[in-house]
Amino acid sequence: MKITLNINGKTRELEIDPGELLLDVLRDKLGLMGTKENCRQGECGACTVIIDGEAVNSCIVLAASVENSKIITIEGLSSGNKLHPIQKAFMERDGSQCGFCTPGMILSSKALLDKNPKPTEDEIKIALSGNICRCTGYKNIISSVKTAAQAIENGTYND
Amino acid sequence: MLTIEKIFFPKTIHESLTLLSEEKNSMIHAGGTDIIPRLKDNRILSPKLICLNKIEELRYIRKNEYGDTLIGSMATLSDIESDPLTSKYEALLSSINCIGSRQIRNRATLVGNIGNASPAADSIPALIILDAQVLVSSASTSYEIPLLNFILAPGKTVLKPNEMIMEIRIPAINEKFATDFQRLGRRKAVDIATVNASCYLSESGIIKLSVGAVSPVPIRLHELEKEIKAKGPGVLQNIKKITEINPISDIRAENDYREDMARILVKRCVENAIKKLERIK
Repeated sequence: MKITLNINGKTRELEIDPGELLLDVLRDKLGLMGTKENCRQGECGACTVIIDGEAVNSCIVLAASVENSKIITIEGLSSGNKLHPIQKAFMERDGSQCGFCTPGMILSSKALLDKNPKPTEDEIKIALSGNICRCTGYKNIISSVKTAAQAIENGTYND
Repeated sequence: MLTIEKIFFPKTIHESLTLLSEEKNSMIHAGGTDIIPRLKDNRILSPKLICLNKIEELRYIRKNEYGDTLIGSMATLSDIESDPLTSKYEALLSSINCIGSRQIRNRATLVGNIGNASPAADSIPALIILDAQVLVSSASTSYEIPLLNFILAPGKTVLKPNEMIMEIRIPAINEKFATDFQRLGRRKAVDIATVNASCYLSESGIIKLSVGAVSPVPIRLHELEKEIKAKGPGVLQNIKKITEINPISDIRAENDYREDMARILVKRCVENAIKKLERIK
């Protein structure tokens, strides 16, 4: 079946099978490998993307069901070589070790900060409770989100 | 890729009900957060999916002329968490907050949580104490059934193959009331409840208790309610066991542990509901 997807601000026409999941369309058809394949159960958050402003597990979303939606992947966050403040904050605060969970963590963080620019620590934890990290122990991830929130408010990373 | 024979995207309720009647071996896809993993694991084989995602008129939370709260079948858990019309249903909001993760709640629907009919479903005890009603439709009929009677067995509801849930109706409550929800799980997110419990207490002394994950379906504790009404909440200090429940042992807990925990969660629910009611009187 033919569908049209809006990914990172661009409209793409694709031929897909009805049972094709968004995660696989992103990675296999569009070459957007930043969205990670892991549990395929909607439990680990490595495949998180933002759909119409909300963080969603792309591994359990049928691609055909999001045809009219605005989809943002991790690749859509940076602007050329200019990183998004959340990405810079993760670098600055060591919010990433192996990096596998990081795209999902960053997108869940963006979905949070876009709606709640000054979250409490508990609100950050709830927003990220669907993203598992095996490396960091989460402390630096939470610091990264706090730093990102402040940086966005203060324009710290604006060059 | 999932093995799906065919996928439909009806644009109206009428179209979806017609498809459900005419297409054999079809099933409804709302949020998909339960059925997509089941399809992936081949626990459902080659179905036809009727996806409701393009029917905006099903995604609503509103009040009817009687003050009842109506939740449409495509209203997501996140929609319900953030809507002012549901803000007074504390137990329902607490229960929804326990379901999955933010990512799951952004897609999953309340109706889907009910339709999935897990004995441990978190939203169901919190809805049972509100006397929630389920509106069921097919192409030719429409009827309403109490949620308490809607679920027959684990994973099984009254729905016939050509029927779908249209909405949940929470009857208006015209006196001060308080609700509480308690849950025991191994984690704070992405976890199935070991035991859950919910309590409704009203100014006029009405008490309703519901528990989940301790019997084949979530239930009301009618006998315990009668006892508390007759003798006061103090009875909860002395009961050794809630006789109305029949928990099993499974990978999450042993049955006697569930019995103990159900007793404790119900006690906490009632105590919290009493305190909340005092505060608003």
